[in-house]
Amino acid sequence: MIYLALFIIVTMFSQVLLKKASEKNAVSKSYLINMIKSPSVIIAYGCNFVNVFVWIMALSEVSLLFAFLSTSSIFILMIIVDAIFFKEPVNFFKYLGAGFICLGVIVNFI
Amino acid sequence: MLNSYILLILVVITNFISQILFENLSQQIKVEVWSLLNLYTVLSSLVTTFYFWCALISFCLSSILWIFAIRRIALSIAFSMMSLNYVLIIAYTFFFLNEYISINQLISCTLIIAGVLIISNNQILTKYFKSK
Repeated sequence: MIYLALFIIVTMFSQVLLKKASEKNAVSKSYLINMIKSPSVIIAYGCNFVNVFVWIMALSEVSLLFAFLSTSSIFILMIIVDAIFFKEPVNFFKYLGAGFICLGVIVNFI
Repeated sequence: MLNSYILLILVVITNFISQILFENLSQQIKVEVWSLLNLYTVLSSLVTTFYFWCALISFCLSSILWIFAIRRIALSIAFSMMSLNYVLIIAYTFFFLNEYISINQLISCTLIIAGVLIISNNQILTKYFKSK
């Protein structure tokens, strides 16, 4: 369970770094090269690399289905992160969608 | 924008392949207590396997495609698309591993997909209901 929690936190952190870098380089012609050279992207991929092993460790403890259900909370958390870091609008339907996802996760464990 | 969605589908497929390969690898390693010493032992045995490199290449490809996909799409929407991976896993376990899938899991899966569709189309839905 600890590995799954760690996987979720590191995933979100790395995605925020990637999105920040993509916003910075969005208009550049050599987008991929600039992205690869960006320190944020290097850190994000470093996190992703570590996450590969965290994910393997997590999967050696829990089933694939349980692991996927637990990590589905990232979809809900990402809406909040998106609003905080990238000022993305959060409307009723985003909350509704997040509610559906939460309910889906709960139903699986009833 | 359409290209970004095509890229996202490719991300989902490559990510799904890597998850299946990593799952196969995880079946091979059963470690009671994780420590730096046995972590090194596990890692050194992993890097010699073909599956590990296929999984890692697939994972890297997925990551590269992802940075192109999130260029124009909000993270929350792009991430909700990634739940198609979950559906692929369910389908894989059912069709290829002949695993039993409960009604609850099917309902759960349906609810999650519905949620993702709502999040993905939140702007269209908002405009539609405002015009009513």
